[in-house]
Amino acid sequence: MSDVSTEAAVQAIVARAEERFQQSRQALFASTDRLMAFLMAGQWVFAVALALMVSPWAWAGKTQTVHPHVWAAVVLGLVLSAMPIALAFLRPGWVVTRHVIAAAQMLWSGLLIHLSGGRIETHFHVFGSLGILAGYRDWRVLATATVVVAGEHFVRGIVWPESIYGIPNPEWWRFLEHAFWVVFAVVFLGFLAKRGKQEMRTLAERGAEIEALAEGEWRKASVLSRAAS
Amino acid sequence: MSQDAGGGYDTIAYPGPQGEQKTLTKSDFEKLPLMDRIRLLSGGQIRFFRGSQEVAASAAMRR
Repeated sequence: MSDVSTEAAVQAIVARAEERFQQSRQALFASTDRLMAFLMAGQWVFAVALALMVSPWAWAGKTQTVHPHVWAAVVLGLVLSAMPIALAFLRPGWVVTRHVIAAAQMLWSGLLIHLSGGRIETHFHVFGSLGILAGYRDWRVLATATVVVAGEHFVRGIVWPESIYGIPNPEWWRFLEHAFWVVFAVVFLGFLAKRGKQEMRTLAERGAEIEALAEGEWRKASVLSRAAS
Repeated sequence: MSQDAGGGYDTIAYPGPQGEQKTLTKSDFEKLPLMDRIRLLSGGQIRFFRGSQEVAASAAMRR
């Protein structure tokens, strides 16, 4: 068996390992995109139901109108969910899809916080969302989510603090406190995402090692059979 | 050669360029770049050991 054919076999096995790794990454991205699409739809239904239950009507004297929260849930919710759902089904696994989903998910946190009147408990949605987004095993997705949620808190904290903190005059640095806890979670989730990615690579390499071992056994058997004949 | 169903190995041995016997611990072997590991495994001359006992490749790779 020539060195050239051995080297060609080695190169082919390594290339197949890389291919297997990329395929499993893509499959994970695509399936997580689809999962997030269902979450986007579910959040929209939940937000509309929440607005209808908590504040369905607004009153101006004796005039009853639909509360702006209901419109916010219906219209903003639709705007936030439409693009991620479309991308998840039309371009699953595409890098842009998961970053759009991450941004939309953080904006969903903002909308739900607004609909609940800035309740601190609704901020838990941010942390739950980060945990779900970690399922992509891609720290860049978490970075996008962090930038969006920090920016959204910063802007709304200036423009309309009641809608995000539930009080009209929070300290100017309140968004930094929220951002700190987000970064705290994201650092560890990012580490776990990196480890998950490494485990996927290890699995692909394990497959290559077994393939190489079989190649080696076949090579050994060929040498023995040539020697015997 | 042991066929222990437990699997795994501690060291590997393989012939060097001058025919001398070289050894690597499992952790050193796993630190090698994939290309080098594949070269060793596909060469057909790698041997696996658990303690001082040689184990079959199929059992060794069942980590």
